[in-house]
Amino acid sequence: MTRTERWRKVLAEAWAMALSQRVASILTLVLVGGMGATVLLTAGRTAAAERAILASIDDAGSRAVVVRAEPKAGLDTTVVARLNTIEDAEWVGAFGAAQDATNGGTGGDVSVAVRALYATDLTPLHISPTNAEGCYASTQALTVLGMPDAAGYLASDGTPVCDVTGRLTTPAFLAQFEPLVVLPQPSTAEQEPQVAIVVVLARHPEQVAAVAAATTALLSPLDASAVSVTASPDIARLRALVQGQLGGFGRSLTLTLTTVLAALVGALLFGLVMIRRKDFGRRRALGATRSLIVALVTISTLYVAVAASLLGGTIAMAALVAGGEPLPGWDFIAATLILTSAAAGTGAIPPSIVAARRDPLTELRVP
Amino acid sequence: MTAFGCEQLEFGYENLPSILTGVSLSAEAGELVAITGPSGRGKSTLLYLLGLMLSPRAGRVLVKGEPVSGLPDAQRSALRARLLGFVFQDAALDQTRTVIDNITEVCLYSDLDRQTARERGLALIEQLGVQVPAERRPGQISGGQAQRIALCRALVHDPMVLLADEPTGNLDDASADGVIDAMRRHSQTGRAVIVVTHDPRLERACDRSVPL
Repeated sequence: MTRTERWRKVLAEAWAMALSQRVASILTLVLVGGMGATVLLTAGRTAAAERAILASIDDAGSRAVVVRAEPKAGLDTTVVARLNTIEDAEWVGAFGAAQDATNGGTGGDVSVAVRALYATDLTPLHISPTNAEGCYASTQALTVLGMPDAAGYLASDGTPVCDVTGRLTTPAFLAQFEPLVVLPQPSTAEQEPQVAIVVVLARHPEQVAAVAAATTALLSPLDASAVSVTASPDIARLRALVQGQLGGFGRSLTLTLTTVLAALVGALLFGLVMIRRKDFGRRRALGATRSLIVALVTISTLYVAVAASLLGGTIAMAALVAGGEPLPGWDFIAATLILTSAAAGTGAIPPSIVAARRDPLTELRVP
Repeated sequence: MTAFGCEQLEFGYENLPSILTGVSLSAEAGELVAITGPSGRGKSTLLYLLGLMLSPRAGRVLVKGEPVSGLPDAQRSALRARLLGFVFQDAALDQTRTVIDNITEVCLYSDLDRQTARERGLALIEQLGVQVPAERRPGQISGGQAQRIALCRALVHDPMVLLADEPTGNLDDASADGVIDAMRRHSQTGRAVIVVTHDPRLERACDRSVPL
């Protein structure tokens, strides 16, 4: 018999065990599902709040270093390549001078600023490099322009400026430039046009100060007085503080709850093993090895625990949605479900060892 | 060469005095052997020693002349699953599983595939005259039927040695006859059968008795 066939038998038997021990399985289901839901409704709610607060802080541009350059500064597009050498910079983009434009199709009188964009990576704006022709406008800009379908063209004083070819998703670090319309420029441009704004995004909030310093050093303007570099190290510090405190609270709460879960599952299964000790003695007598019994008890518990985690997670998410609460990220939800299942599986190991050590003679002999 | 047996076995629980000393026994292929004697002499304990579920203080259990009682637990478990069949004093069926699931349980511990075990199990149910549907649970059958189902479980992998602890102790005459016949037939296929019994009919059906 191959190893695969043997494992298939073990998995099938563990499944049959989980189904046949209804009371124990239902109790485990309630316990693990309840604990999974509790984790999501407590630590998960904290994680969701943390995510919302961090998003708000990010909206304020906590990681962005913004350079504003007057024409006499002589800052051109070569700055992008220079700033891309900063190791802690996640993204660098430069914008040309703003050109006011209106909806050319309707001749509307509300204008938005159109900026040429020079960047080696357009993915943060959700623009595919292969389709980067024409203008891309944010939802806010399209609303202002009265162009809900993101189709049409922009004009300045009756002269066409660009066709609107797509909608861009404004990342938080560019929110201060809304309503945003960009005209991506090819990176192989022969000319080196001047730029008015440069945005450098640090990888982490705590790196903002260092990135700002490196940016200032690499700008090389003709006139330093015509350049201003703004960063938000205080906001970055606040972000790190919020992340550390709320994250730490959520982690310790999750750890406590999963430890309690493992202990409860262990106690429940210990009771079950004591009730069914004759069964385990019989299995040993018929030829089951100790490791097989440990595997059977643990895997049958894991089957129930996984089902319970999914059930508890679904109920908790439904409760959060129904209450209009912010939702934790999918990564947090997935991690919680895996953690609760793993905690139940871990809790099952000590009683499974007790089950594996049942003595057939003691359990089966009739006085 | 002796198919199965033990030499100079000694056994006692932890720090207590030995309850078995110097016990030697052999069972040849095709032989049906009874272990008899008054209660408290260690008959069942001897059977569990022969079944490799206990480790002796001294002496050894032999399979085809090879000592096996000193092997590691995992290897003794594998031998139990492959070579030995065991009928307990009460049927010891899993109450949460069906009759056929109980019979085929041993295929989880041995190389026997489930389909073959199922076919053999159904044939044994018929052969032993246990008139119960295979999908019924042990709680829905009589004690006599349960004991014969336990015998089916012990025979399903065609063990080289069948060990039975008072297999007819709780049965009516008709059921006991069925169990005795089944064990007799198994021994006639060239297998060894060792039973612990107080039942004179079973003792008479055996080829020889070993008193303790």
